[in-house]
Amino acid sequence: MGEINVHEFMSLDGVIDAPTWTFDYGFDPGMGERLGAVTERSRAILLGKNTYEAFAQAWPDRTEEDDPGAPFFNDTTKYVVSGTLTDPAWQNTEVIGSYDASRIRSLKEEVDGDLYVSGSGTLVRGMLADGLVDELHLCVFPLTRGSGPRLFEDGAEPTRMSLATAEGYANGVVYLNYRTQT
Amino acid sequence: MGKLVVTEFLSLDGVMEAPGGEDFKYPGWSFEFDRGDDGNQFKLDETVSSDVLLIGRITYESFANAWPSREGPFADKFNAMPKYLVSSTISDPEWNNTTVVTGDVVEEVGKLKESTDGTIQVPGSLQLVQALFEADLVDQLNLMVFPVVLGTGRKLFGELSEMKAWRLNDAKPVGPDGVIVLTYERERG
Repeated sequence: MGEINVHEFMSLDGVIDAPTWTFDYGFDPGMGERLGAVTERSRAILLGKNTYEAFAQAWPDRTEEDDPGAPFFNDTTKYVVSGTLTDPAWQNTEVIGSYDASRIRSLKEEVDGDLYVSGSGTLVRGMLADGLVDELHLCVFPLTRGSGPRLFEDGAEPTRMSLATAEGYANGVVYLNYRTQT
Repeated sequence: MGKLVVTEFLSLDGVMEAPGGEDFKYPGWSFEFDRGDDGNQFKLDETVSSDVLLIGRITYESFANAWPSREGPFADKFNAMPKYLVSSTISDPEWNNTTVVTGDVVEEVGKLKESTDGTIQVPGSLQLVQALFEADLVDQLNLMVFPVVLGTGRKLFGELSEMKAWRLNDAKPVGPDGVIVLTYERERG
């Protein structure tokens, strides 16, 4: 039985759109270690359609020398929640249809290890509402965007969480790890 | 030139409404969590180091209801310090040492910053704070973030016309219940 780990790059005002605004901050090794620990225990990747498309553009051409995360993203099985996507070109990709909580629940049963989710705002909001997310790994960048889609929208499911880790890095990013069950 | 410090209690989804009571679906939601001695110390240091309090009408009413009858280091400081209340409806505030600010809020707060030698603390006061963000008058942000998603309530960060950069001062957990303190300073290009 795997757990669902959601990783987000988020601005201080909670925006999680395509995180091109994170590039200026570099990648602190401390954050790399934290996220590496999550990908290491993950045996599957679960993505929404938009994030899948962005990743499928970026990762296939990268090697381990380009980015230490490349083998994980290219080799791990990717499950994509989409009612429209067919014939995914990126290797090891399986489309599981439109969002369906019971399908994701059974995926948690099937996968021998954790599932890693990144970005995928619509999917994540759905899974948070259905109590399917086990951990949040939020990398909060020191800027306010002013507008854009937020991770938590009005009407989000009221949830008390427990904090596992909070640490700040020299580049101003704060890593917050919450478990959704207290 | 004064430094303007906005200080807020936030849920994980950014709600700042009624952390200590008032009329809300979850009144006093922040009291569900123990912020510990270190969390208390943070709030006390923040308050003691403030020279002026600047607040909106709703926060004023909540504070003016609570603090005048209390004693102790928080109450003594809040009751004694000069307070500026932004309101178009209250003209004769009862709380000791309170001055009403009327007119163009951005202009008036700009003048207050000019004339203040020290720290201006702005707690709560959503409408005021959003105007100050937009006008880029906020110099520091002190956020105490509680490990709960409320799903409803007014949020600190609304729509702003510009992206703004901040410098992280500190990020630390306080107390036993997963509360964190984040402090940022505005980084102006």
